[in-house]
Amino acid sequence: MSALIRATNLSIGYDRPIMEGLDFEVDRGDVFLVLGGSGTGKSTLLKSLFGRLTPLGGSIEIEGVGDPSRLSGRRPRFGVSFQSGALFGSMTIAQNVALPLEQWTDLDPDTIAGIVDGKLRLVDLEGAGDKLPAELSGGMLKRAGIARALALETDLLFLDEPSAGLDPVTSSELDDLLLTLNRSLGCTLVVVTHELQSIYRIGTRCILLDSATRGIIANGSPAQLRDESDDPRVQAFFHRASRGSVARAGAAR
Amino acid sequence: MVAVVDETVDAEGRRALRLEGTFELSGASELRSGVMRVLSRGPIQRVDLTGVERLEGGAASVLADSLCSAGEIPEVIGARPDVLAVLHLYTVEGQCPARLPAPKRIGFFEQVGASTIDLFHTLGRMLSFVADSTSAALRALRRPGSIEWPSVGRQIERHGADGLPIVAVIGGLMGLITAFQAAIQLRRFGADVFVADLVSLSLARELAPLMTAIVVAGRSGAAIAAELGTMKVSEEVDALYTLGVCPHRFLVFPRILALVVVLPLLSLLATFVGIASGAFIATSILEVGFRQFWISTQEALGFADILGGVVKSAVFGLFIGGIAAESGLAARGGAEGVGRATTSAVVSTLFWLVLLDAMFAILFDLWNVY
Repeated sequence: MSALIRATNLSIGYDRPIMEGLDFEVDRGDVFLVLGGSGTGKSTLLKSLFGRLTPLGGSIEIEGVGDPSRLSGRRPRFGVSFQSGALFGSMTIAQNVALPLEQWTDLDPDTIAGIVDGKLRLVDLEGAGDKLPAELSGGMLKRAGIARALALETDLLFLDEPSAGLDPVTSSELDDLLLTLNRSLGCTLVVVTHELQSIYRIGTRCILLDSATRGIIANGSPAQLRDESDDPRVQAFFHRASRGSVARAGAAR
Repeated sequence: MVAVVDETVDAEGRRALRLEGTFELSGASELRSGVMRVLSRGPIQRVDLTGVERLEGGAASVLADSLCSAGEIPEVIGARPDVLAVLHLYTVEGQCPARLPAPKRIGFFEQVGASTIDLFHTLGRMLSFVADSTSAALRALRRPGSIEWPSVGRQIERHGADGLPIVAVIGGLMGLITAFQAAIQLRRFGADVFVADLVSLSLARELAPLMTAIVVAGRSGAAIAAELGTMKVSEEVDALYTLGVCPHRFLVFPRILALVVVLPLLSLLATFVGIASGAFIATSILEVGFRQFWISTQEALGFADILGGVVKSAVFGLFIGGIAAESGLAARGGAEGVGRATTSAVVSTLFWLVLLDAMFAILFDLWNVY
């Protein structure tokens, strides 16, 4: 299987590095999870992957795109769903989804309206097109953000904490949607999350970031890391335990 | 029960810190000074908590911190389980937590250096903004169809039409104040009729463009900076980039264009309302008829005076829009960042308005415009 995204010796951060020496690959068709505790740099890594933050060192290569930071101002080759949805507050949901189509295609308004309806139906937001973002719930905002990210039929989607702040049922429905996108539409997904339920349900591969070592401490499938890793930090993450209690349990064994 | 902090020495000569009674947050200072007093007399080998009835979290924290200042927590004896449990909450398994290194002190030269680097970063950011905005403007001029005209219309309505009442009121008051001041002085020399010249010229050339710009900077500049700042911190600007849409074309250009269009119009409105209120004052308190005032105004006010004010206002609009948009797009760090960006936008704009006005005064004089 070919690597769709290849990060080599990547160093990321704003003024100084948060993570250094990151090496990983995302294969086509993966649901690739970026895991880690709060403040480890997951969202910073995601921003670097989709080109909104220039890496402090190393390189990112996306197949057919090259360096994603050079894509600015050109037709998007991938979609991005932000943690808050990041929908434009002065536009309706339908106008938000239509924006990339109006910018990058010569389609007539009726056709665009038809595509927008289809995208909204796909994310279960049929009938919400005339609403403003302020009138939607958190889960609906995230789904609308995904619909906008899918508007240009890209086959790579970056998602920043799609389940954060959602109730378990809504979160599970969102996971269903992501699985549909991956399995039915063949979308490769790169997802930042720390929701264990989502991790086991949707993830095919993951990396676990650690702020103390400023690097990747585990790379593999979620189930494999949970069952086979003997690193207390990995165990602490996958068993929702504090690092101290895992270390004590390890010492007792 | 009274809290007691003292020391004991056992038969083997071992010194112990002895606590007795109830230790609450309110008595934490006394606890600290008591413990430090005992520690200052020499090292202790034990902490005797036998007589402690209750140890509140704040007091336990102070006790642990004071003991750790001597290097380590000695053996704790006689403590009731609940008291020991509270003390353990503020220690690491009964031992002192590793002390974080003291934050590095930043010296004077390092501060100056960091500020200088910040200044260069800010200059770089501003130059980059000017380059991006100019490029967006040139693209828009080449392809006018690509301009978001509905957005420009909305911005003109918001910053122009909605600002009409306040600009008219300020213009009227400026004319009134100028006429009053002129009337007092000119009456002493019997030069009442020149009040029309003074009011019309000062309003058209200086007061109306500058005061209108200040009102628009406070009203629209702050609104633009806050709006774009909020969009920046809520990732909407990032979302635009990921959709391949240039924020400078989509967000910045319509706002700047709207201000360049509306500011001269608002300034003209302020000029005419100001002259009208000046005429009202002149005819009310001076021996100047309305017709006489009108003729004097026509004679004094040339096309160059009005055009100079209009050009100045358009440049003011360009700077208000540009500085506000740049500040907004540079916002970082949530609501506080938006507040900082808004303040920075208004303060920078006011400074630039005064500076530009001074530059125009010099240039117009050099070019003999007036």
